[in-house]
Amino acid sequence: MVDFLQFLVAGLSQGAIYALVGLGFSVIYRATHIVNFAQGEFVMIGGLGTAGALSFALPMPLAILSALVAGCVAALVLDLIVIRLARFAPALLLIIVTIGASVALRGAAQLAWGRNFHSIPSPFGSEPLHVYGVAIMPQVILILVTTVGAVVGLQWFFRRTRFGQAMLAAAINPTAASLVGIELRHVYTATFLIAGLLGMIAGLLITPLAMVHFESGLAFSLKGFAAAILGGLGSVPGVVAGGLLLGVVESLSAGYVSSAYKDAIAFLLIIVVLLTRPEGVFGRRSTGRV
Amino acid sequence: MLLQVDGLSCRYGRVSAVNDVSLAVREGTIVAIVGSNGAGKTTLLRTLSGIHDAAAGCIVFAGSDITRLAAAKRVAVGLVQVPEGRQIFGALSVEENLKLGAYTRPANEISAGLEQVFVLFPVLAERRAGEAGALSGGEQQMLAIGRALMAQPRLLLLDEPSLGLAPMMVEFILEKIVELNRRGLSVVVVEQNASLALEIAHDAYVLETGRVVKSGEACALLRDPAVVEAYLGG
Amino acid sequence: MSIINRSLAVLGLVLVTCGATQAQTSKPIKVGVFVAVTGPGSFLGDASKKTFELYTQQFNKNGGVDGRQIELVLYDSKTNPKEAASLARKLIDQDQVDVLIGANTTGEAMAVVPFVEEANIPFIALAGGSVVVDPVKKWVFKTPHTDQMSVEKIYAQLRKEKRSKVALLSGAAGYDQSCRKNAKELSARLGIDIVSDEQHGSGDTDVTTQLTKIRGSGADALIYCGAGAPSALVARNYKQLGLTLPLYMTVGVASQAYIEAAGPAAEGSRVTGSAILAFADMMQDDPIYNVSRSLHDGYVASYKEEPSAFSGYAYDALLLTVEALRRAGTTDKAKVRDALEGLKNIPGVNGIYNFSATDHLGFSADSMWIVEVKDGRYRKVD
Ligand SMILES: Nc1ncnc2c1ncn2[C@@H]1O[C@H](COP(=O)(O)OP(=O)(O)OP(=O)(O)O)[C@@H](O)[C@H]1O
Ligand SMILES: [Mg+2]
Repeated sequence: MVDFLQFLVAGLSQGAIYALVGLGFSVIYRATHIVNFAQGEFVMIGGLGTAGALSFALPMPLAILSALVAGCVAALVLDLIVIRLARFAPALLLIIVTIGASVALRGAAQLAWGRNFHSIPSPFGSEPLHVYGVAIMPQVILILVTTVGAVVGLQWFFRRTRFGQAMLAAAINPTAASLVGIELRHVYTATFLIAGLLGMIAGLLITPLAMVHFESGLAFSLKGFAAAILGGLGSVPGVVAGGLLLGVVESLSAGYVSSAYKDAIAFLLIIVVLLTRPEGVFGRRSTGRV
Repeated sequence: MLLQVDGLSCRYGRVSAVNDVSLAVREGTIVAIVGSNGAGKTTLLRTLSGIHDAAAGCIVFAGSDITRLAAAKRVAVGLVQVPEGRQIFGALSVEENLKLGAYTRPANEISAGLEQVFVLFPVLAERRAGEAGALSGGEQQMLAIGRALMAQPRLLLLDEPSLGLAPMMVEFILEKIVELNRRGLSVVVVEQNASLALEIAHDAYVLETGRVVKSGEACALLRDPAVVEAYLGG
Repeated sequence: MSIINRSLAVLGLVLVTCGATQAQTSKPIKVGVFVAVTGPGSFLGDASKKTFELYTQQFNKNGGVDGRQIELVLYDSKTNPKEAASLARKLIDQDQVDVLIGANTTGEAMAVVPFVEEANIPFIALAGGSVVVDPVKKWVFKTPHTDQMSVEKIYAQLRKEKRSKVALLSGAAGYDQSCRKNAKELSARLGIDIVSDEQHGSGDTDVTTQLTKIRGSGADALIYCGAGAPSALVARNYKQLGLTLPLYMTVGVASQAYIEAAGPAAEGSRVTGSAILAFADMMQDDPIYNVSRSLHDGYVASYKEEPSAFSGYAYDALLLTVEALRRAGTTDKAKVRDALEGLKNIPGVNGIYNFSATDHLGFSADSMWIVEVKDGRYRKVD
């Protein structure tokens, strides 16, 4: 039982990170129908940027801020390139462009922060809490709480604010959105910024536990994309559930089946989901969307 | 003149859809644009709203040239369209759709706007929390018009408001358009169902393969034998 | 800097310049090097590059090879076997080097071997995998300890401590899997029982699940088969779960970078590698003391960091090259190769080299140390 709970803690904390990255995929996909494979790079930028700034003896809040600024600039540039091209380029080309962007971001990160792995300290130190024999890092609790907060915040933003509603409207029907006076350019830019921020939050959360280097983004992109697919690319709660499910399935299959095949089992799950429920485990079949 | 269009041409790639069209809308009037399938009516309205680029010509609205103005900005100056096929936001609620209509207006105008729309279309008040996609065709058309009204338009562009509606509902919608016009709203209505449009309009234009082939007072066109034969079923 | 120091420095410069002029009378010997300065193996290649640059200069200052200067031609192979192969060709055909050194990873080394054998040029590899010299290839030598030696060394230590139930945790990379395979193969012969065999993926950010399983497996020692940064993750998760069985890491981890990355979590973990890792614990009468000291002191003075086991591989490769060239008295490739194969009792940083026609690695696991992290430094374990 203790082992099971320990597996669950590992699965949920990993899954929460996948969920945050997956939400980034989802937000951009909904608005633009582009799958942004540079999404994982923002996790890397959040972690490495902060670590890099800390090495210049900046205080933590400033270090985080500087990483966020760097990431937002990257998101804006990405937005500029991809949306410009989107006017005439087919979707497949745009996906390749995002892959190219991820390579470029990796290169830039290597120049800026070197090739080494970096970590940042957790605000709660490195001593675990012991609950009924289960070791839980305080950082894990922070990950879960922040993920819940991010999801609630996103839902509130989309449902309750004018601009959030405008983003939903533009995702549902861009032409109709223009006809009520929504500037699509602003929506797309906001989309990339939000997705970038979600990735960077994930990076800030995971880096104290693991470590990141310039090539860490790729794995996060894959896992986040898988989470988004599992949850049905469209819905916020769906993608979160998809992320958590992926994390827990990975952890439990490592724990009870074989750690050598945990990734294979997770991807098998995704394939089964795609074949049986293409809209995702938690996705709605789309209705009334043009 | 509220709207003055001169020599407007639009194309899809190499294919020309609207060719050298000139038209004018007097403040406070209803203008009908009629024409058969594929005549270029929708393309013309899309270009007026700025979601399709003009290839040539110019559009002057309320005294300023808006030919190159972005679509969203045209809504803000009072040129608002109810698009063909309604194009409501199906996954959002009725109220959310209406509020989005007021996107270019200050937030403190929204509740008054909602009141006005609910007085005009009481059924929308009953359904305000429901999903827009679940409304009937007629209700969706009301919602689409209501959403456009939320932007406080000076000129309302309606693309085939009768399309796919039962005759009673068509009549209801047209009555509302006339009512809005009596209260001072200028309207451009595009219809394949020419007789309906000509009956409520002051002025009218007949479009054929992208060109204006006839124009004049609506009642005069209703009596024009050529128009009767081509568009009013003999 | 005092006046005297400054004049001494100037004097030194003059002497070096004179030495150089003298040496220019004969053509320099060209040593071609390709190392993984970038890419996943950069934690290896970076130390190698620094070592080559520093000590080529040093050897030249000390007169080079019988007065002939060594010219270093160094490229970045980006930890990419294809890149390594094309660089090797370039070094052989265009740069016309006399000796080839390089390949921090086994994959790169194996990609280069066919070209080396075709061109008949002596090649000293810096890669750990035993496949590089087993079976023996006429033109290929290597300096690093192998993953297999690490495992042997750890097993010997475990038997000394009367432990026999081992849990393995391995990454997905080539080195990791080779280490895992060797650990399993050697276990039966050395009386070790593998009670748990866990793995993690290359981008993983958590291994607590694997370690939880290991905790319940009844193992009395844990060996991590992996290299570079993931080792720090393993050490941290190990500490978080409060595991008490000893944690062993192999030569793939043997650098200061591990201690820096894992922080306090590195305390108490054990690593196999060259004695240079715990230079402070080396006895002065150790036959490799002098050569280790020369690397250690020079490296620390120039780069303000401790040399890793990976600096030692590069240093030894250079040292063996110079020694063989000296003995051959020519740059004739066949003669240099024969001289390399004939080297006996040469103290290097990694051990005492004894090459022969049947052994192109030249030393056994005995030359390896097990070190333990204490107060942020590697200390020798007896
Ligand atoms: N997206 C498009 N790409 C290419 N050609 C188009 C496109 N949309 C319309 N057209 C062409 O432009 C011409 C005008 O079309 P438009 O939709 O404006 O006509 P319409 O008068 O609104 O017709 P309907 O009564 O069917 O709504 C037609 O020949 C049509 O085939
Ligand atoms: Mg039309």
